[in-house]
Amino acid sequence: MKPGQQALQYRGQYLPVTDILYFTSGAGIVPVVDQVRAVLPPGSSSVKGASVVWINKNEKDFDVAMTTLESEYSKYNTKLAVSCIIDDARMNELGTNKDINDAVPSFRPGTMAVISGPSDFCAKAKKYLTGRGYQEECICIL
Amino acid sequence: MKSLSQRAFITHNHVLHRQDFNSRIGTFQSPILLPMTTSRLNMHANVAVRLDTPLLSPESFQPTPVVLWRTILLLITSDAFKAASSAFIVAFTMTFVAKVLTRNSNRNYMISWSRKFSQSITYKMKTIQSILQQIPEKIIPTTGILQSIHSQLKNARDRISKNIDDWSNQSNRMSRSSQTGSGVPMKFNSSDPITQGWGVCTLLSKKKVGRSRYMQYEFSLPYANNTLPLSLGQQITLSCLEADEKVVRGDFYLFSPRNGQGRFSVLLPDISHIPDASKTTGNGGGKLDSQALATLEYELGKDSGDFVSIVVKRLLFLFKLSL
Repeated sequence: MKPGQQALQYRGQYLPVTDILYFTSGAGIVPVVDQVRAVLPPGSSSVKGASVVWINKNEKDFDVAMTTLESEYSKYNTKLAVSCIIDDARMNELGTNKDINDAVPSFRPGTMAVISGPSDFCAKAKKYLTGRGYQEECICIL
Repeated sequence: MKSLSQRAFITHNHVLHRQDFNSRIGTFQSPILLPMTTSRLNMHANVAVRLDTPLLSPESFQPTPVVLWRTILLLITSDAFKAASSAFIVAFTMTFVAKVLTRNSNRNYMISWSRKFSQSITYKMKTIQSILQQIPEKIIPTTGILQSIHSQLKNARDRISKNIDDWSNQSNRMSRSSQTGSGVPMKFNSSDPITQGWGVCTLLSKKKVGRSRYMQYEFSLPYANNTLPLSLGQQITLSCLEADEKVVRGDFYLFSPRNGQGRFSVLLPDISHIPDASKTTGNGGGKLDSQALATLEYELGKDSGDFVSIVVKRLLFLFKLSL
């Protein structure tokens, strides 16, 4: 084993980053949980608000990190929004799900989107977010 | 002859002492030249004794602070006091050293012992203070002096307690930091021709995460206090050899906290529920079912999926061997 690549990079023009959207599916929630823990504590970052949109095909897969996210939400309920959505992101188009459309906030300067999950999902999510007005430079794929 | 002179000296000294006493109560004798019996008879004749009052009543005997300090000084400089003090210091030192040597690693024990010691001192101080307050000033006029000594001891005790508290707080901070992530980061030196920047970890266990279709694979680091030097959003690369000596590697995010000591874990799809996933060839060099491979490849990508398939395949092979 050895340390691998650093994938978290922001290439956008709007600094500082004040809002983060975590758009994830399946086991992609693993790095998201680590980042939520890191950026939400007061004084740790410039982030004022974070939204987590977690999509799974099976409701049981939310067991992976539901407890941790609930714990973080109870601590930072004014800064964190969590949406757990059951959908087959592998087969369906993301834009057709109303819950997803409602959970993803509109883009505004200072917002960064982080996509995490299977590579197919990441490609779909990037296309979806770009369609929602997110700039490519503000999207980071883990 | 020598014993006779000694006896004479003692007698002489005794008579001199009695002479001092007699002179203080207003009589003077010439005792050196007189026999002892004569001296005693003369003294009794001159002392006025009343049967209804004690010889030394509290009203008539009021020791001055000088007398009290002289008495305390005599007590301190006496051989008995020195012997008792030396014995106490030796016993205390031996007990303290023994406890430190036997429980040196247990810092909490030292702190608790120090606190108990401080509390016992406090209790004894309060007891002495209450006793002193109950004694009327006219019986012992030196209560003020004793109280000043008590206040000085109390100040010393307060200073000791403060030092113990500071020590305790510092110890707690050190203990917390050692538990929460100030371990020793592993070094990965890519210029090392032998390791080429790779470290060693060992698969410890795997367990299912809740009701999900994911498994948590836990690995141990070389030392219990080792940590992985990963930054936010950085992956760990795992590598192993395939059966034909081909190197496979995969990149994963840590499922465990990044600053965890001694071990780490990653989250991987559980393919054991897929039918025929456990059908491997006998020597561990076979391939997993195509559906399982497709699942791994979708979830993790091709490289990481291949790595996991090797790990899972070997685990299944070892599981078969253990049966």
